[in-house]
Amino acid sequence: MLAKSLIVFLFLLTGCKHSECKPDTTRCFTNLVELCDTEEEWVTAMDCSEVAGDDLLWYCCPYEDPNLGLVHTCLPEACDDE
Amino acid sequence: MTNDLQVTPDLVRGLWAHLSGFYHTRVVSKANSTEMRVVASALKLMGVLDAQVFMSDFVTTLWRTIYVPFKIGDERSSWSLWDQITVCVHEHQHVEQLIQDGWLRFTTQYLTSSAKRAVYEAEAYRCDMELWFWKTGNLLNPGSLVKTLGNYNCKASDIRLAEHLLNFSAITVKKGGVINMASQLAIKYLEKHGVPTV
Repeated sequence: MLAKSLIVFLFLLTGCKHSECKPDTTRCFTNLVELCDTEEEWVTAMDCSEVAGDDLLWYCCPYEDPNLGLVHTCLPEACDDE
Repeated sequence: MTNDLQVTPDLVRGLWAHLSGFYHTRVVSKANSTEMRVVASALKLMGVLDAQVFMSDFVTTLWRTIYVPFKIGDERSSWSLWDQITVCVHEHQHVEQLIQDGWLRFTTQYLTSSAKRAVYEAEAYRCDMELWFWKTGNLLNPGSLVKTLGNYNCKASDIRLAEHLLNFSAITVKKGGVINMASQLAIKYLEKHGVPTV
């Protein structure tokens, strides 16, 4: 019983790393833009619901940039594929 | 649309008072602060940064206290009035991060992780970009903005990550979006109290 409890305890201590990812990649998670950092963890880069500007609603969308390639960012119109 | 304001000492003092009131921050002169002199000596000993440079070229925020190396609204300072506005917003964005993430998570991540520190700083540098775009209609160069992150002991790969964050943020800024809360508050204040240049 004690051994079992110890295993569960160790699992709780060690088993909670977030989903791994490729550094520099971006994604939309609900209306958040997330960036994969160099520790291979997703961090929030922008909350599109909180963006202010021209009284528009802003949405997290994929965006093909000539210099950056495919990134995700907040845009003032719904994404094309929606 | 640009907003080329007359940046006056009163406007600068008013903005500092406005954001300090909103975020409940305290502004302290860096030169008169014993704790900042201790930090400066520690940074010098660790070989991170020259003590004099830390005391004169950096504004430092510890929780809700902001240590400034200039007199707010002083036109003769080596910090221009516009720089004083920008740094006010930048530092209050760090307080916003402290509120959003909680002081324990923010402090731990900022102090222990080069990657997380770079992201926090990139987000705060986004204020500089948003304000400059609002004022001039031009974007600041992300590469130049993140150059100073070497002084924050960030790894080269994390500095590149910070630049990437600013690059894809710039797409939103260019379309007229203001992402950071401290920038939104500042722009609202400047629009209300600033006098356009004729």
